[in-house]
Amino acid sequence: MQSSFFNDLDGIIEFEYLEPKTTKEACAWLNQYQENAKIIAGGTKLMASMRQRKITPRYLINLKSILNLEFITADEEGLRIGALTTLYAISQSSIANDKAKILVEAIQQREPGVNQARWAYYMATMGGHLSHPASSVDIAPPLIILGAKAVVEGLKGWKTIPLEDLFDQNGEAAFQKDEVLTEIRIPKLSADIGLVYMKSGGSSGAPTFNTAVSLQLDGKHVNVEELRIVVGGVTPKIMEAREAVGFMKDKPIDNDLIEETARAAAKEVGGRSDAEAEGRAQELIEEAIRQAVDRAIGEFALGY
Amino acid sequence: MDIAKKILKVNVNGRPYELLIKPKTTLLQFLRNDLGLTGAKQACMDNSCGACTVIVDKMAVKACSVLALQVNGREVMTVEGLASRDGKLHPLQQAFLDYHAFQCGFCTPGKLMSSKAMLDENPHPNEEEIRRDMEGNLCRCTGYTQYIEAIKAVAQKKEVAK
Ligand SMILES: Cc1cc2nc3c(=O)[nH]c(=O)nc-3n(C[C@H](O)[C@H](O)[C@H](O)COP(=O)(O)OP(=O)(O)OC[C@H]3O[C@@H](n4cnc5c(N)ncnc54)[C@H](O)[C@@H]3O)c2cc1C
Ligand code: FES
Ligand code: FES
Repeated sequence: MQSSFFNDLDGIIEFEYLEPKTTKEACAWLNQYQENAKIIAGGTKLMASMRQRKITPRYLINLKSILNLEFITADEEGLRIGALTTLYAISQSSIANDKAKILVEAIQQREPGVNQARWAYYMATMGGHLSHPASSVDIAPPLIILGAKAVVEGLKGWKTIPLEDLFDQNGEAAFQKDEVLTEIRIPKLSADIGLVYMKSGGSSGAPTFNTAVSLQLDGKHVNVEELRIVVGGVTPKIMEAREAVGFMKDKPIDNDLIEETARAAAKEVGGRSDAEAEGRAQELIEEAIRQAVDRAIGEFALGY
Repeated sequence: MDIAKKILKVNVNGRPYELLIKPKTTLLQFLRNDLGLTGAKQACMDNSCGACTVIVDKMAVKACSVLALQVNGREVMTVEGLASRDGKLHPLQQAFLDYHAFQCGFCTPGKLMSSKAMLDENPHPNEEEIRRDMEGNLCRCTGYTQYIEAIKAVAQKKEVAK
């Protein structure tokens, strides 16, 4: 029966609310109830999907009843963020600001959109964001260039998946339906890597693009040793420009090379996008590379 | 399927409650139907309008889009908890009155709770920040001027008091 306007969730079928004590228990229920079970983390996407009858789970498995999934810690190996940590908590965390500033910058640049629905910013979790390509579009690019890995737990144990491999070409998650993403691990990075996240809002409803760039120079600040360019929003899948970076690698920084690299990267990640979109992506990437050079040089940067 | 009700333990406006509820009860339904707190309003039900805004542990949340069980063990504040127990209005409520910041008043509880959460987090917002923070609270009567003035006045008073 379709619910009336004010009946809200009343019209949907009843569901059981399960509260696992451990991740294993959650996985066992996911395995037992298959399509009939859904994990609830922040609930911001799930509630909307249920209300629109896109999904009608008979069992909701509340991850919040598992004690150790909400944390931000740093040790010798790097930074660890529990899957239930909200984006708000990450942006407020001094550890995250210190160790993964670019992730915080990406979260903060989301804010104007999310502010319209501030509650979603408070409630939505890291795991919820990374469970679907569309909701990961803002935070996956910085995580990819930070070299982050997702820890996924299932009945048989746990494994790590590099962030860039979290979804396949068709947008299907690399982890199984009875597995739970439990944390994100970000390795310790050398301080002289220039990391930049930038976002460009499209005019008159055109989609928002974003890019995350990491760049490392040699000791003399002359040659580009490492460069990664990851772009979100241009195509449904988050793309890394792997070939275009070849223009700059092991060569001295040079204005023409930056332009050439940005042009090639925009083409590489653009799929079948039109010239306008490709031009916008190119501009964004170019500016991000310039800022990454400055950040890699640090306090002696003159502005590239 | 015979669905088990679940126990919800929650503190609302300083009072502890422990109730058995159906899992699919939203926070808004729980507040309005189970506790009789009808200040938070039921309108768009798809998290667009903000009429249902309440504060959960200091955060402004859209009660229509959260399951009541998601606030288990937490503190909820609704517009009914805003004035002090002796009936003295909260400065925001007083300012909304002083600045004629509503007509029908349907959106007002949500606006008050959103602006309270905002001022608690950022006591001295500028006008741009106020506008940005209040984007998620729609009004179909008054327009969007008077209540911005009301919030600004409270923020400025806080500054003077400091
Ligand atoms: C008003 C509003 C504004 C928004 N604005 C933006 C925006 O500007 N940018 C943006 O990127 N997104 C935006 N979003 C989307 C938002 O990112 C998603 O709603 C959010 O990512 C879902 O996170 P959650 O913790 O609430 O997940 P839930 O809704 O609880 O779950 C979502 C899905 O992920 C699965 N899941 C959750 N956690 C895990 C886990 N640990 N392991 C495995 N599966 C899991 C669930 O089973 C479910 O299928 C917005 C959403 C709303 C409602
Ligand atoms: S009724 Fe909740 S946002 Fe409109
Ligand atoms: S005063 Fe009527 S909706 Fe705002």
